[in-house]
Amino acid sequence: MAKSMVAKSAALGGIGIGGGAPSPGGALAGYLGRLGKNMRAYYQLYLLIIPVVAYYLVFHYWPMYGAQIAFKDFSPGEGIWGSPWAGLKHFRTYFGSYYFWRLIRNTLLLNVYNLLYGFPAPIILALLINEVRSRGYKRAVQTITYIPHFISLIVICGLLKDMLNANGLINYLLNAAFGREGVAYLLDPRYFRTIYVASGIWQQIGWGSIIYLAAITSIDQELYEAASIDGARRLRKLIHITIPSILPTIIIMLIMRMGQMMNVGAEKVMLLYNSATYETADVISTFVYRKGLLEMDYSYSAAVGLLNSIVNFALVASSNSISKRFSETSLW
Amino acid sequence: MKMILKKIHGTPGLCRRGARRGRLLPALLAALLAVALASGCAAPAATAPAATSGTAAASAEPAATSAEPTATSAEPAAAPGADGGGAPEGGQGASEAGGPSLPITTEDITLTYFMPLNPKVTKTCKDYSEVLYYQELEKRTGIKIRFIHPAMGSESEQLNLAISSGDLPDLCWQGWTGYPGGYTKALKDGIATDLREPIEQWAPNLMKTYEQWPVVRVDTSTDNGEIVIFPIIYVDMEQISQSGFFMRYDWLEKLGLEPPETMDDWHAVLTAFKTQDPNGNGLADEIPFSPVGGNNSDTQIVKFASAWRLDGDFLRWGDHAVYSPLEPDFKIFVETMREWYAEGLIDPQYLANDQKMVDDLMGTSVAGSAFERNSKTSALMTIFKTTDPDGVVQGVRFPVASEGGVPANVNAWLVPINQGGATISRQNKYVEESVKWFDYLYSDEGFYLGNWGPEGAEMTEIGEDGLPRLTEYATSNPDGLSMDEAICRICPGGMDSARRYDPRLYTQRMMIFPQQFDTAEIWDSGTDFSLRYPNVSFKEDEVSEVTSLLNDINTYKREMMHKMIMGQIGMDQYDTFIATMKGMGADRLVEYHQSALDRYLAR
Repeated sequence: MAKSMVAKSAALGGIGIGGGAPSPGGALAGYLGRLGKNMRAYYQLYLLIIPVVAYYLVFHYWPMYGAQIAFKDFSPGEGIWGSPWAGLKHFRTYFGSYYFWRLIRNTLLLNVYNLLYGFPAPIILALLINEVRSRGYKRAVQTITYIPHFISLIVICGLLKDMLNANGLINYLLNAAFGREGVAYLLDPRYFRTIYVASGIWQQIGWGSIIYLAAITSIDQELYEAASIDGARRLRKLIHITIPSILPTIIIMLIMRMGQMMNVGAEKVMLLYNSATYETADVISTFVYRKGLLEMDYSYSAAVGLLNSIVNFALVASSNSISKRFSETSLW
Repeated sequence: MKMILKKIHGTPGLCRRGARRGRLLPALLAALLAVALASGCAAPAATAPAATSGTAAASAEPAATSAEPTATSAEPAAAPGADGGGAPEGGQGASEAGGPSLPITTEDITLTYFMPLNPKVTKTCKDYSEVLYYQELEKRTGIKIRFIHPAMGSESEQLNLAISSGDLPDLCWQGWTGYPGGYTKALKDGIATDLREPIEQWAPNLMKTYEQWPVVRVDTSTDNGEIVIFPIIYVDMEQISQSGFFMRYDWLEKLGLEPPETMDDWHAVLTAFKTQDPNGNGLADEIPFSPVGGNNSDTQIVKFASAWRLDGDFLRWGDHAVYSPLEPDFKIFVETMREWYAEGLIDPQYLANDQKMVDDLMGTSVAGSAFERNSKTSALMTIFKTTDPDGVVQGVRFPVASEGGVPANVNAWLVPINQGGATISRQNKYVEESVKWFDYLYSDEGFYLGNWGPEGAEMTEIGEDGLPRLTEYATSNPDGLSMDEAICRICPGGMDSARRYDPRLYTQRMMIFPQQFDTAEIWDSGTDFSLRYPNVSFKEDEVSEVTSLLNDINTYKREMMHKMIMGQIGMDQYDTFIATMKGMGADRLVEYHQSALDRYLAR
């Protein structure tokens, strides 16, 4: 997350200055001279951008100073500067650790499943909603699907725990319908990924569809009319007009999603996992949290986090360049 | 009472704020900026988003502190009596009585004190400074304490955040066994300082306590003799076990069974609970044993390991440090639990159970036995009055593996020092005053104040025998507060604080129902307490390795143990389990602990 924000900020920063200085290249002095002139001429614009630049400097660049503890044996008593250097010790420990492969596997798998099922879900919902003609019904569906997004995560997880309990609602229904014995779903590592991904879809499907619905509204209606005249039915129009028109949006969303491939929000996993499900549920972010905040192994957890950010950055960059090559849509 | 407290505490603050609005704004801005900066700095160390806001909260404190003295000193006349600058009656009386000279200071000193807020107080107060005891202390000593209460459930995270961000509180209360790396690491992190000299110089009362009970000094020091904490001391307690197994005695009676002693007895009793419908509702819904679980914990299920003189973690067999899971008997324990779990004798969701769920299961006559504090006996007996008038819970002995074995309580709490204690941090500028403040708590006056409240407090009266005892205010509170809630509004009698615990108070507080006396007797008599692992300390250069070894191995152990118990993997994995732990460095860990234990015993 941190890295992808940094990447975005770099892009924004580029726009901030590049917009004023027209011709790239040339000697640095020449560039600075032009920049100075430009700044004097359009000082109001430069004033306007200060808060944004300051925000990124303070919240996203300054903290990188602390990332050096990944290469040190950080002790709070000695401070960041005072702690002795440790080289790549913590990285080596991580690579050699019993948990290394499991963490990578869990983080990736949760994300792959999320991408596989969670990413198309809002698109499909948006397309379906778009086809509904009754305004009242459309509104009702939208409202109902948005609601879970506004419920606090901790409440959602509380609900899940109650419902998936061995005596909970889901077991009750299964028992009534098929006479199945109660299963404590949250205690069995086999179910964790399904629960995580399915509840994620339920939570975010409505909210996620907004951006696609917006993209659909901006499609030129004449395209549909022309298609109707050519005798196209709904399905044809959907496949040949709606989907291609929102494809750029989908690709941008996908690229941004790629940057999260090595990330799983720690909170939800933490609220749902327990020792029995670590095997499938323990991900990099929860591991970093346990190591850093509970066990106070700051340097080690910083090293794990840093490594993760680097991988994320590489993923964004490569998916961006792939997309650039094949579809001319890209973030930068 | 509540109104009075509010008045004392609230009004002067309000006046001040009203008059000083001009200065408050810049101070607020400064605090905001500090928050913004600090939360920025901490971001890379902690990827968890929740962390950022935590840091902000923690680091906002010092900014606020620095703003406060200006506000008070600029206008000392605004709140003369209540702010306690000019020591009123209480102080002078004390110095005549031969304690330390009071007030300790006439300067304007405010110390920050990081201390988890006990849930027993939350019904009546938001902050310990509203508790009568701390107000009285401020009056007597002249030192103001500003409490930093971490959010409930994330105490250690918030402390760790404060430590890593470098904004240390002046004083800090912690259960130091849970602190990774123990005393040695605390000293290194700066959250604690070596108190040996300051105590020898300024703490005559505590020195007297050390002479009387040398174990107090031993247990609060490192191997090098650095004194680290001001502890809560339980030296002359009549009861030692604070918690243990307990069971529905009325169910036993109904089914014609005796309280179990061996593991076989337990099996028979739990099976009877499961199959013979002791709660009489016609359904087989009984959960014979319902332990408290929790994330990343051994869960109370390991208490059964005490039958084999084991536990989930380290314990002491004479001079030997023993890591329980490596012992051959641990396998028998896991197998037994696995069988019981498969037979439905143990709550199928024990790992997800929190305290409240277990309370509910016991209170609604679904669970037949649990592992609890003795105080739960009275809580449940009170509930049973309305829900199940025949219900009786009472302690049963710690189980033994076979007939004639000696029951063992591997982690008794009411031992001289159970590692809850206060440290003075490296950033504390008033070490002398702080030490004297704590020392006062160990004086005779402080002892009375800490256990029975200030003279004339409504919770205490002096009985015919000249000894203090609880009044009706505490035993049957008119506002419907439980006894502990009523006590804790006045003094820390029922909660943690640096002091010597009065066993008379414990008896009066804990022993309301006759079953509680029996429970205490059953848990303590003939029980072996020698297995309890002492608070060993590690050398500075080994502490980080020991901590990370222990964490990694414990995490792995829990995971495998629970999976085997719940039948998710076969017992054939047991050898792999042991081999993996050894591969992770379990033997090295035991060696470190052995030499640490040797050093402890040599103290």
